[in-house]
Parts: sequence; structure tokens; C-alpha cells
Amino acid sequence: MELTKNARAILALVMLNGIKPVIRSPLWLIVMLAYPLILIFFIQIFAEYAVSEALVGGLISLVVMSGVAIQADIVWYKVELKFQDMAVASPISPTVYMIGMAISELVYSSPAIVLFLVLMALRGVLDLSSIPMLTLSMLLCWLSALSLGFYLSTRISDIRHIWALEGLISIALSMLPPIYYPISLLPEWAQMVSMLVPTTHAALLAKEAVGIVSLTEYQRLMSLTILLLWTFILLVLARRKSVWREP
Amino acid sequence: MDNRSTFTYHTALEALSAERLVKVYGNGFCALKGITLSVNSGTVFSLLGRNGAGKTTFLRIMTTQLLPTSGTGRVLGYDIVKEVNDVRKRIAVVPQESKPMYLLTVEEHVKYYLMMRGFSMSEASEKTRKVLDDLDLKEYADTLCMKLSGGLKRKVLVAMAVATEADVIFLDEPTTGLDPIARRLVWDVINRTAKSGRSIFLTTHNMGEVEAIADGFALINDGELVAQGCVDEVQRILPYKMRAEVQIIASNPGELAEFGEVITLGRRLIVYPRNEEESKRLYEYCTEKGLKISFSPVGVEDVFIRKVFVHGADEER
Repeated sequence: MELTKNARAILALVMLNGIKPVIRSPLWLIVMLAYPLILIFFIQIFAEYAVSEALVGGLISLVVMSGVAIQADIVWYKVELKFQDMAVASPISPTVYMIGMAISELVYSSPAIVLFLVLMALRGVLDLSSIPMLTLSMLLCWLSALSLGFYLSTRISDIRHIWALEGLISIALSMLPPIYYPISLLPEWAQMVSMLVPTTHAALLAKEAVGIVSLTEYQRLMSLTILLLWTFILLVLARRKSVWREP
Repeated sequence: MDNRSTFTYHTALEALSAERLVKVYGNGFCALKGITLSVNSGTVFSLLGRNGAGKTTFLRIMTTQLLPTSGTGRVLGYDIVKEVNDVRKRIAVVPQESKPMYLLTVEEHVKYYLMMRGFSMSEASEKTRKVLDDLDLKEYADTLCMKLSGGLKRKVLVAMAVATEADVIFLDEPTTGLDPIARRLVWDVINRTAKSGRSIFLTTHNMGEVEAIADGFALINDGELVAQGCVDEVQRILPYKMRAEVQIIASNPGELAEFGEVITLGRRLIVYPRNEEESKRLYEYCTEKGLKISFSPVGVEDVFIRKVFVHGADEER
């Protein structure tokens, strides 16, 4: 019974924060798509051979953007609309609220994700065997970005700070690290630094899944462990430190 | 089976109660200094006070959004700290300065909010239709909220709370910033909801609002409750029955002091005669001097003036 109620609550959040706004303002879909697609456009012009790698990077970038975007929506609902206050003073639990908001963010990035998968298939870098690891790396990456976004949204109450932070986080997680380009292009010290970033490992695992890079057993295990560790830490941070009822 | 809920529903005479409720924020600011308050079920109750008096803090604590520092609070008999889930099932709130989502229609707002609270899609649709009908919002059902006037936007938010059929509805300054016509729209909704037997707790700094829609009221000032009573029985709270508003031009307020307590509020001069004899002498004095004067029974505004304005001025002195 409780499960059914929670499912309805999640559906309602997906409708009100995802599907309905997207239908009425599809510009957001283009915004979501434009960012990674522009990079791929330039890569196509200057280094056509790297496009397949950039498409995988674009996928990782999309899930990061989708996860991080939750912070702006949550702060908007909390501070500007006061909708979150209405949610707190109602039977909905913070976990259900977070899940509903998180899935609603995917509505914005889903068409772009599908387009990137189609482009990858057309270039012959996507087959059935690559899907499990590609999905896992994207999922872990999304959960990490989502948890970080949710945690920050409960700590920052100025929407302008959130917008600035959202841009910075997207750059730090999906532009600077070797997501769109091979890690080998970086100097050794930068490679070491990039190994601290979860998206580097998500990209490595995804690229290996589609056969663009090859990892040793040790490298694969290390990337998976680091990515899982980041996801776990950020999920715990979001669960433990986030504020629902104010102290 | 939730025996407790059945028991509470049938026996709770209090919609909400607070006992020695204290709130000290992290920066050391004491917003509530031991509020004790009781509100009967099935009434419209207003918490009145100027900006920063502690009204919203009290409402946020009672609606489980904010933890109290000490003291206890109960909604329909359920403890707001220990039985938070039981409280949340039975309340709905419209926060201060809340706004609807721009890209949703009026109908979607109500329907999705009901689904968020656990109603099935068919139940939510049915209740939405009913509330839009009841609150004269049917013609706007498919209108995007970004296209509505300020008054209608507030009405949508109130409709969301009303549609939940929650036993206690909390409205935090529901008419602040609205023009008189929009304000009346919201009052109308509150009056209709109250007639259905539910309890409404609202905060306001508008004294006219209290007189227009509330059964009972409490006045809060600097985190302390300074008056509480029924709107119809204000005269019991004050030592005066009548007030006189005198034309301020060319008169010396000091001269009027012999006819009662004189208070100057901007361009208004208010005199509280202590008895009929003083009222009569005041009238004669004003007629003789050619000053306009009008008498009226004391109301909620006079409680505010006496307990907040005069009290505050005395303290400053």
C-alpha cells in the first residue's frame, strides 16, 4: 500500500517537474543537447577520428548534467516557490521526494541520451555486449552527480549561487577530465589528478565497454572501485547531511 | 487499524495546541519565547502580529517544517515532534509568499499535489474537479498559472491545500501583497472551506482580515503572546467599548486627553473614551471646534494598537 502511494508520488513529481514543463518549454531539451553536441561538432571538424570517443564522453556529460541539475530545481522549489515547504508538511518522505525529482531530471536529458546512443550505433561503436557496463558506469555517474546536487541544494539557498555552482561543477566533472578525449593526451601529473575525479573512471569503463580503449584487469577493477566509492560517499552525504525538517 | 486516529478524530476538541513553545535559532535569536496557545476544531483562527513577531516560526513549527527548541505542540492530539507522520497526514499548508509553478495548469497543480500525497490518479482527478468547482476555478482549469493574476495564483495554492481534505489547513499570510479584490477572493475560499467543518489556522498582520474571516485570534509580539480571544468578544480584552477617530487638522492632541486615552497614528488621531460621559463631552468639544469625529465599537485593530503599538512605545520610553 505504502509502495503504491510512493509510486504515485514519484509519478506526480515526474509529471510536474519533468514531463509537463518539457512539453510546454521544449527549449530545455535543446539546451541539454546543445552543450555536448557542440563539442562533438568541433571534434568532428578538427579530429574526426576522435568522434566515437567524444560520443561516449557526451553520454557521461549528459548524465552528470542531469544529476547536477537537481540542485537548481530543488532550490527553486524551496526558496522561490516554497513548494518544498508544502511537501515537507505532507505525508511524502524526503527519499521519495528525492527519487521523484531525480527521475524528473532524466526527462530533460533522455532524448539527448537516446540521440547519442543512436549516433554511437550508427558509427558502429555500440553493440548489445557493451550495454551492461555502459549502463552501469552511466548509472553510477548519475547517482554521484545527483547526490552531490541534492546535498548542495540543501546547503545553499541563493538560486544565483546554485546556477554559478552548477556551471562550475559541470566543467569540473565533465569538461576538464578526460571524458571527451583520451586520458593519454594529458601530461602525467594531470593524469594523476584526473584519476581523483569519478567521471574519469566512468568514461574509462564506458569507453572500454564500447571497445575504444582497453584496460587491464587491475585498471578495470580500480576504476570500478573508485567510481563505486565516490557514489557511496556522495549518497551517504546526501542521505545523512541533507536537511528536510529544519533544526 | 489505526485506533488512535479514530479516537483522536472523534474526541479532539483542539485543532492544535502549544505549550511553552520556544524557538531559538542557531544565531541566538529567540523567535518564540514560550508560546502557549489552544485552537478549537472547526474554527478559523488567526495569529496576528507585525512583521518578525514570530508568526511564521510558530506556523512552521506546528506544521513540522521546523523543530522547536523546547516546549510541546500538538495537532489533533498528535505530538509535532514524536508523531510527525501522523501530523503530516492530517495537515496541509500554504507557505508565506509561495507561488505556483509557471508551466503547470491550475488543474495539474491540484491533481499532482494530491497524487504526491498518495491519492490515486482517479481520486485526485475527482477531488480536483470538485475543488475547482467549489472555488469557482473551473473556467481556469486549463490555464497555465503564469497567466493568472496574483489573486488567482494564491487561490490556486489555497485550492491545493483545500483539496487534500486535511483536517487542519495552515495558511501563512495568504493575502499579503494582494489588492482588495484579490484579497476578497481568498477570504471567500477560506470562508467556504471553514463551512465544511475543517479547521483553518492563518497568520496575518492585517487586522481587517481577522475581523472579516476569523472566529478567534491571538496577538503575538516579539515572540510572546500578548492577547488571545474571540473576534466577537474583543471588548472583553480591552478596557474600552468605543473608539473615536478625530480630524487631526488644527487640533492639539493634548487637549483631547481629558476625554480619554489619545493615540496618534500617522495622520489619524484615535481617542478611547473611558465611559459614556467622556464620549459625550468629546463629541461636544469636537462639534464646538468644528472638527470631524466618528465613533465606532473597538475591534481587533484596537487590540493591536493597545498591545503592540502603545506597549512598544512605552517600552521604548
